Amino acid sequence: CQFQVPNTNANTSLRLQSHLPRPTNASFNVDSFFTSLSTCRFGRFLIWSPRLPSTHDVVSHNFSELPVGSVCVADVQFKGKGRSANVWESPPGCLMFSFTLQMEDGRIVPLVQYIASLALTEAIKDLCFNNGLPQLGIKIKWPNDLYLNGFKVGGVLCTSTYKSKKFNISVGIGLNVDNKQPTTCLNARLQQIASMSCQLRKEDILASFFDKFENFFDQFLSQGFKPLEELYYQTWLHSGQRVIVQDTREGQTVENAATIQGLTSSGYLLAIGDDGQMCELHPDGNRSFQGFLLSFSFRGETWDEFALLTGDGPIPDSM
Amino acid sequence: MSSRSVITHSVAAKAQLNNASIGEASSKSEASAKETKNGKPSSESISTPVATEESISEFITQVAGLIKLVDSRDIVELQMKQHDCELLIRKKEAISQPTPPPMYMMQAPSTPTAPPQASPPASLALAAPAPTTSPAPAPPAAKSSVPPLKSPMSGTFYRSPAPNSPPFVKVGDKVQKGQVVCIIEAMKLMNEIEADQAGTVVEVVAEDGKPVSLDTPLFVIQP
Repeated sequence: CQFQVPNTNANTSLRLQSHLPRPTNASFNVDSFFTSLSTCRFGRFLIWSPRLPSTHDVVSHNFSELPVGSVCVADVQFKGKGRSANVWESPPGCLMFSFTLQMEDGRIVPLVQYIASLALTEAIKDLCFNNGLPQLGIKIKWPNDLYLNGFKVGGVLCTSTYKSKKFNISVGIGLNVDNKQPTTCLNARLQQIASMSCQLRKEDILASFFDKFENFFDQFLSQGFKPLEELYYQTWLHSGQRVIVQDTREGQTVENAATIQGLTSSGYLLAIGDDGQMCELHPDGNRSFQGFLLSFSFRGETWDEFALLTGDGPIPDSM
Repeated sequence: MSSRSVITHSVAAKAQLNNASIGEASSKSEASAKETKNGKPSSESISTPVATEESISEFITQVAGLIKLVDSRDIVELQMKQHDCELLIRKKEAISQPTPPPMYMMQAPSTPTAPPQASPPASLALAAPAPTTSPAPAPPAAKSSVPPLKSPMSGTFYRSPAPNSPPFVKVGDKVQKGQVVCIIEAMKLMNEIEADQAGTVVEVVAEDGKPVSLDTPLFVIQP
């Protein structure tokens, strides 16, 4: 068994927590985290580093060497993973962590990122409530971003490897807790609306996240997404949202207006076209679909591209 | 893959292969056509304009293009007829064990011809030259009895790790158990699929960038 730290040429040393130098104020306080944690499986094995290329790489490259549910936290990440080859920059002040889990049912695997997003928004809700703070109102932008007051403050990125009939999933999360450059962060917003100096701490957010996640994940495995769907709709940005579905096919672009209804059973966006037809909308994952490229306008801005898979949506019958 | 083409009859001045209907003839009508021709060979060849060198080379080019097409697709046999020109291209898979005589009037091979009947019984399915209406012919029977590697989830099938990088594996590659062979992406979740056994990739069944469902065959890996 060998533990690898990928993408780094620098010298690394591995130490037990009892042998660490006293943490500075800015760094993650491991003791404080474990004091708050009350889970059975998730977050019980923790790897902390002051500086890492990517927490995601640490857990995904060492998946089989680590107990399922292990988490890696870094104060600074310099090669964080975004979608495709995008790099997620993470200065101090961000909570960045990745953890592992296993699933067997491929039909619900993609929905695990909704569980993670929801666990994070609910964790922050709980923390604010328990500390007598006003609610921040963090929202989920489907499928995997977190928004606060119109700005992106976080994201969830999952990768998976299907091995020996199991999905080995690494969930990576970045959340802007203290770094308000260039837009906003949780604590800056708290100060704005509460004019108090009470701050959310990364350790508490992480511990609360795992409490929520473990609970949601158990429900999800036994009953699917249904029990959490209502809560998810309360938290996401898209209910009743008007979108333009742009269908480019054989050089011709047709635009159709549609309204988002919710999620389909497989976790894609369910929309109803103005012609009354239901359709399922897919994100393009940063890669173009030939001939099936659609784009969405969210509130007048084109934010993302989606592809329509089903043939029975509000698209011309040129198929 | 080896293709063997059997070109019968002399070349007409301009073989308009592009317009020729594909796989129209069943072996029965094919046979009768041949008989007719055999009946009056001389008159027909007289009426045929003499082939120029140019037209022959054009014809060869067109045939070469067709062979390439057949070779690159899931077609085991292609037969075309236009005017007095007939062309039959058959892949090795379509030819039964004892090398058949080099004429195309032989018994129907066990593999169905180009437009297969919905479920071809091995025997005399070719008796009726009924035009098949089913638009999507069932995929040809697997080349071997090896069960394919199937998709464990629905999503989009990607053969390469990034849009402009080479594929993880291609036909003919040897793979190890646990080697990543493709990505299935669903809602931005990238899921690497590992080979469940060591072997040689003999077929890439799914198409790059296209949606796949749970249990859609992706690859055939011959142990």
